[in-house]
Amino acid sequence: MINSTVKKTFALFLFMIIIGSGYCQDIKTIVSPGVLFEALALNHDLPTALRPTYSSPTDLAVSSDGKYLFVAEQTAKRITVIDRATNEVTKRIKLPNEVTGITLSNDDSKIYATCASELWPAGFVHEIDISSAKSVRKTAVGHMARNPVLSPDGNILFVCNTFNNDISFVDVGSMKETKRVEVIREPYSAAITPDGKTLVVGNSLPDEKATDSLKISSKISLINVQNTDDVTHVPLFREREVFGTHSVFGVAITNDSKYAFITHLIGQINIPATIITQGWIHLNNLSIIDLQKKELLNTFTVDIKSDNGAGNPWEVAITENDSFVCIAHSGSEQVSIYRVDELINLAKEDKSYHNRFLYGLVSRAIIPVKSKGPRALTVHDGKVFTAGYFSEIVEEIDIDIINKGAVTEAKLKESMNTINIVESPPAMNALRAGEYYFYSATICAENWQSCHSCHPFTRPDGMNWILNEKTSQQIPKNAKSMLYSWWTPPTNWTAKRATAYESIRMGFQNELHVNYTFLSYETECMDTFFMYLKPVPSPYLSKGKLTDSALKGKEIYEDTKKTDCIVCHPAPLFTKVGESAWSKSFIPDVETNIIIPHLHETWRTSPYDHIGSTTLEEIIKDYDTHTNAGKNLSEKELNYLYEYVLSL
Amino acid sequence: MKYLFKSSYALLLVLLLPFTVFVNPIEKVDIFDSANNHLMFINFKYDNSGNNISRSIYMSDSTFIREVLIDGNKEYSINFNGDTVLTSNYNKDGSSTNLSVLDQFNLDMLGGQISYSENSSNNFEVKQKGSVINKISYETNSDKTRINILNSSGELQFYATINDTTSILTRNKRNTFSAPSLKMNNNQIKIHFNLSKASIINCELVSLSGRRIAKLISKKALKGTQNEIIKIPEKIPALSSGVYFLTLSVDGKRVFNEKILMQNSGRGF
Repeated sequence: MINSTVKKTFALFLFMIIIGSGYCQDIKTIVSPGVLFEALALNHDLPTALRPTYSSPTDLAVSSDGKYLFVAEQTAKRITVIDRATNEVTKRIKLPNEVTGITLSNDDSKIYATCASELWPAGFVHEIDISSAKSVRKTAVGHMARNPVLSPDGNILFVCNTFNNDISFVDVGSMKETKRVEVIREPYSAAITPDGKTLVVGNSLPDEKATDSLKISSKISLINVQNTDDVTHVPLFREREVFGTHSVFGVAITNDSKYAFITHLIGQINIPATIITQGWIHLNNLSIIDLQKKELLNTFTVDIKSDNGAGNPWEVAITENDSFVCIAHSGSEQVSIYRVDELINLAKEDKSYHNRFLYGLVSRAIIPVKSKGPRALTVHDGKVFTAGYFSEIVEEIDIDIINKGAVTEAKLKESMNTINIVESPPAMNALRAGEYYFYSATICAENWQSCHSCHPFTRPDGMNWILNEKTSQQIPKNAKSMLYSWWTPPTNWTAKRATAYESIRMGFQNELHVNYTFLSYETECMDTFFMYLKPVPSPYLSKGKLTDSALKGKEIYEDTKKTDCIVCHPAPLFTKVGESAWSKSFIPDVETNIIIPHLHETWRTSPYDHIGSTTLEEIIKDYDTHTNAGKNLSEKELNYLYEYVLSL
Repeated sequence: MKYLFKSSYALLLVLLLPFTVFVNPIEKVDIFDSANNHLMFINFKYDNSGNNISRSIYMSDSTFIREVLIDGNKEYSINFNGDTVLTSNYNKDGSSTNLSVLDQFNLDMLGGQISYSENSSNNFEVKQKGSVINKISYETNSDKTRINILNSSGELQFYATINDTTSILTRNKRNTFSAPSLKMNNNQIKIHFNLSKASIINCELVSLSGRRIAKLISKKALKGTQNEIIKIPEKIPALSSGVYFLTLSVDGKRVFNEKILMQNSGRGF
């Protein structure tokens, strides 16, 4: 009896050990360390040698009592709280996606943070309880949500949904999105008038066809918060003077609610890009919108002087007493400070200042900063705070001293204080350095522009440019996306360059006007950056997947009996590579051959063709020299096809 | 004595219970950061033999990121369009496993191979370029498993939870494929599926009684997305209307068997 029990027990023990060890073995096999590491590393959550955890400060806020500074560290996916008395980090608040913007509740107890990334662009707003450092409520908003703005009464939160081309209204009480208001194209920045009546939104890109070259301009959308049917789009445009405006990245409003100050670029698209000085290719500007008249009052170049640019103005802020307007120049790595009243008085004069350098006309200070690529800027109680996207520091400038007598730029510089966001920041690797150089105007002769000036975020600015060199190249061509340019040679619309390697170096030489042979490290890093560019998931996808309509469109796209799409645009790159990437131009033009563009991110790269003369519908439906789709497909099928192409 | 054995028996049962109550395969793993923000989840799929053939990665709002098809030591990540965008290689090197991830252009997506090994029971170290970059530990309590992902200093960064755990399941050693999709119109059948490696595929039309009516496809297919269009009037001009089975085999293994209705209008299908 005992023997039998022992045997049974022993057998059971062995069986269970086997089962047990099998289970242990298998859970670590199915959900192995590799499976978890890969999922988190490829989502840029776990640092790797390729992607260490960089801070990438993208937004700043100061508590109303001035005791705490909040830093949105975009790629680190967190908000860092700094005690201003000690400049020590007191809290780090983790968020599930990249932090694209922050604002504080009126009682300073909460942070509202927008989160979205190029890997997971579905936007969310998080309400964060500062004391517990936790996200306590959240709500879904739009694609690549950013720049949260709280109404003065604290009841509504406005969010720019960059790639949905609209603005979310979020009811703070219920933390639910109540409304979407359509704007123009890629809204990037916004601010609300202190009276709470008007939301001022900067559309970063123009929406015209590029062939409308004398009219093309970004618009500022003025949304009546109480009646959202009342939206006025004010073009940053003045007949024969101001056009080619784009890259609107900063909006600030005077405390009397009368004026909005807007940072942007002016692309000199009507003249060949043969020289760089005097802002020949790009001027870096600050426009003033009269909010009562709802019109452009004037625009100023905020470059330093005719032989010294101040590339890529980004965030702008106005001090509480309307004394100063402060601008972060991300490309040239400076902060400029102007007197608000002087600029408004000058703006009211009956002449355009869009290309007149303010040197000697107004009092101003332009201070170099240590931060690399300062995009974030805020002001509080006589202090300016700025942070560079490619640095792990915040810099504080005491502008209050300007009010206390004559001040030189040197004294302002002396007043600067540096606050470390992290103790031991990771060194820039080639990929990160390549990204930095792409956005940097410090490598450009006289600091006028960066690669980002014509290719915002490596994508097109929607405009036609007359490039340097050969006669044939002086015919305007639409700016191209850099996405996959490394992998789809030749480059340039007319295949002027054999490879992106060559294009990068020629870009340094012809557009930045520097000798690329002295910048081998910079160009090699930029090669790496270009290699790693990946498409952003389309806003036309539904939860990351093709919709039913897009799936029908995919069938049509791949059916050679119906359309010839895949002949020239085969998956997975949706173009041909090499010599076969040439095609006869189907748009009337003296150029005989152009390259076949890939179709990735078609949703964000309008207008189409090599001179930016068509909409998607026109290029598919109307040009039978381009495709037979227009002839062969019904309207319904065409709509499916558009949906698919826009989903890529 | 008898009592002692009975007690030991009971004790063994209690001790080993946590290892034996799980009979379902792991279907879902949720991943959180150390602040308890839900980041993403992974869904796992198995074939009829219990082989883990694929997993899909979703963000916490159910946004699809990619599907990973498993083929032994290689894994292929497929995007929303069915295109392969990443290839992961897992290789054993003694007690360590090496992982590298390449994109479609063969670019290294991690900046160098990583390796991981089990230092002590259920505790792993992840290394890159010779340095420990993460520590990963497995904890099982009751019916839940929690996997902690720590930084090199041992601070919790992320954790994963598994609620429904498994009996014996193994990684797939054979070919993998996505669930084939079938579309029919009047005269043709379209089958769409993915292969993670080159394979022999066979597609047959079979009567309800099991008789093979026709071999529709028999060929070696390359790795990747397969879109097969079968024109019935060309293949079987004299097919009678009726219900049939359409079967698809990959490397001799039947992966698809579905009833289809064929209707001959008199002017062809």
